[in-house]
Amino acid sequence: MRHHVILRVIAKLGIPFIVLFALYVQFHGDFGPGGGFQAGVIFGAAFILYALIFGLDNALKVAPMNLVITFIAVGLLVFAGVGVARQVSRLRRARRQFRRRTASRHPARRARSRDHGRRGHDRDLLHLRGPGPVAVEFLIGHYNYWIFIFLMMLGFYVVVARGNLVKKIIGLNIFQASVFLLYISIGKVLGGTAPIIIDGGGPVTYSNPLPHVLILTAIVVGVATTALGLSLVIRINEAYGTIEEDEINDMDQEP
Amino acid sequence: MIAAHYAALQVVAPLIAAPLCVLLRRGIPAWLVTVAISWIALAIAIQLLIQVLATGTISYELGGWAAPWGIEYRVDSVNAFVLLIVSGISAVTAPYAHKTVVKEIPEDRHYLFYAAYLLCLTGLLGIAITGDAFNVFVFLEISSLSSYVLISLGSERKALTAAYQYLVMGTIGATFFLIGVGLIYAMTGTLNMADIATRLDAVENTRTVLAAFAFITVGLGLKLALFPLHLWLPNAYAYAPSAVTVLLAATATKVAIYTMLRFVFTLFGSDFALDVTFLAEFLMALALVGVFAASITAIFQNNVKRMLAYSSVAQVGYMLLGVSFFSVTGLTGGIVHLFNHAMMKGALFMALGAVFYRLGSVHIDRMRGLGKQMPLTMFAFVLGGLSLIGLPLTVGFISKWYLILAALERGWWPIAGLILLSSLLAVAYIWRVVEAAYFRDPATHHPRATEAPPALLVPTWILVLANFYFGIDTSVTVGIADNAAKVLLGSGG
Repeated sequence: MRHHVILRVIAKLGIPFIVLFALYVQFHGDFGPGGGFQAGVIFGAAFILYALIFGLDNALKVAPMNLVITFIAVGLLVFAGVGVARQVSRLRRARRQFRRRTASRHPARRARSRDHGRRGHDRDLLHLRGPGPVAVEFLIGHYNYWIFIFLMMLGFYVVVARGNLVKKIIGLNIFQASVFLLYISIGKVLGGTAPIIIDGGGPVTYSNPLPHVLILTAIVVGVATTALGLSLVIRINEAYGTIEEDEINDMDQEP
Repeated sequence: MIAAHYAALQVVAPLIAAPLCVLLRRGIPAWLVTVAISWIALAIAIQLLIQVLATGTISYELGGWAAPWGIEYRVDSVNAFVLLIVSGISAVTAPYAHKTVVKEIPEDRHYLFYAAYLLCLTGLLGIAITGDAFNVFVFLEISSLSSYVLISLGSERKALTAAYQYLVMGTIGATFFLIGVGLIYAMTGTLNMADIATRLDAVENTRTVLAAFAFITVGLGLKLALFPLHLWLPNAYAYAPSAVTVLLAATATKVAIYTMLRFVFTLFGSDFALDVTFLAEFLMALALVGVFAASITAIFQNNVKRMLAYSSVAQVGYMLLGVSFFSVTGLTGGIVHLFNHAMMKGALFMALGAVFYRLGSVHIDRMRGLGKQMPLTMFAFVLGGLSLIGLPLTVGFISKWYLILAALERGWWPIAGLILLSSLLAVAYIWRVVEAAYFRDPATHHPRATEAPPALLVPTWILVLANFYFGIDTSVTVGIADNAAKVLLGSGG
């Protein structure tokens, strides 16, 4: 990309703003939904853009490998440290207060306890009832689940049927993404809004936020898996000179 | 004060130590941290086990969030035993690792190796300790991702393809598991295992729950190398660095089996599994086919590490066979075999690691005449092999004894016969190694090998002696396993 003047200029102009925006999201995070996580992603995107446009060598000059590794370790330490520090410094009284507060205000808790109340036939996602119009309604009414199943099988098929190692990773990605859809579908309450508590507001119907949180975790896991998978593919390419499964198998058989 | 937090420390200690290893930037300090943390983890696991046996189930609320909403760590005799196995193996493997790592991995990656090792330990301990279904998935992926990294550090290029293959199959398994957990959540509205267990009864006969059950068993089947979902295992074990093979072979599949036990017995309940699904028949058939197919394949392997890897698939079959009886004796046999197999495979892979350290190969032809050149290592291998076959006075005998008892209890003579017959297959593949090492002359064009250094021999022999100690005095292991089986089947404990 180095010879594309337009890309270079635009990237050069854009990157400072991307970083600035990331910092804005980071420090605004306290007051709005999201926060540190998105900020980190935006921040990282700036560096990835830089690496794509100006090449990996230049990017490594900006962020040397040692620095990156140290940052990862420190980040994890800070993250785990916050949890431990909280646990250590917690006093009994503070704990009791906290519990009382969460009992009345934590949205996930309310959403879930309401979920427990919902029972009966519409909880059974995969239960077909009767022929005729009911079945048609079932097919259309559950379209998000059909998409989930379609994507799942599609991804699965790509993983199994493709011999190219990168394509397999793509298939794996589609496969994982389908599960995200499943979880989000489960959390949706018809007519529900975002689960934000407004002081003084009456009871509102809101979607269950918990599956979103779970899926955020699963997305992180998916990203980590993809990154690791692709880096393995790079190493395999270095060692074998190919990323086609058949050729690799042939080479392994020879000696 | 600190005793109340043992359950959290069990997981947090290795988790915090991992980034510390990265910051240390040196192989040896990172190694020392790893050894220290592994021993601390073992001490905590022993404490937890004693506590559980004395006072019953321990429940720990993370961050003070009350149980069904917050994440709960829940330790009963089943997972306290698994924690003991994992941390015990790690406590022996960590000191062993240093020499082999120096030999097999480039120096600039040593500290990263130990960081990944500790993360893997975190994940394995986390799966065992947590009482939250989604948390299991998170820890499953922590341990899996770090084990892909560890396997890819192997010295041959095949290690890379083995790690890749494991990554693909492992991710499919974990995602299946995730789908299952999602469906359970849809039906019960909770992720806490104890809470799920009480709520599932009401919705037990719905197709969603059945689908969840299927996804979870198949997903975990991939992870625990249930035949025929074991294809990732032989290469992963064969080409991983020696220390990694010891750790994974002795712990990873065990933890997956524990998770399956937890979901089938505690969450779904044995009644559901028996009445609504065909899990018992299914597991028994696959376990038996797996035992024979994998053992026979093992006989024809020339790479001894790969041979033992196939043997691991067969041994997983024994554990699942024990589970498939759905009786206290059968489960006791299965659970005690978790421990016993960790001891024997740990010892065998450690001995092989020592061979690899001296020869740079574990091909059966290269091991000719090794009995004279490395007497202590090879003798350890032979004793480990005897335990694998199931000779009396070894732990292997105890496992098979309980499995056969369980079969006879049900009046299933043929199965008892098949267990005995399959032991003969183990004799066949272990004999191939013994024959090469003791009754063949070494190939002349290779230099003579010398005995392995004490740093490798001591951990190996600790495990070999454990094979005999726990084979003679079974009160601890069988006692706990029996208690665990009763807890799982819900008949007190």
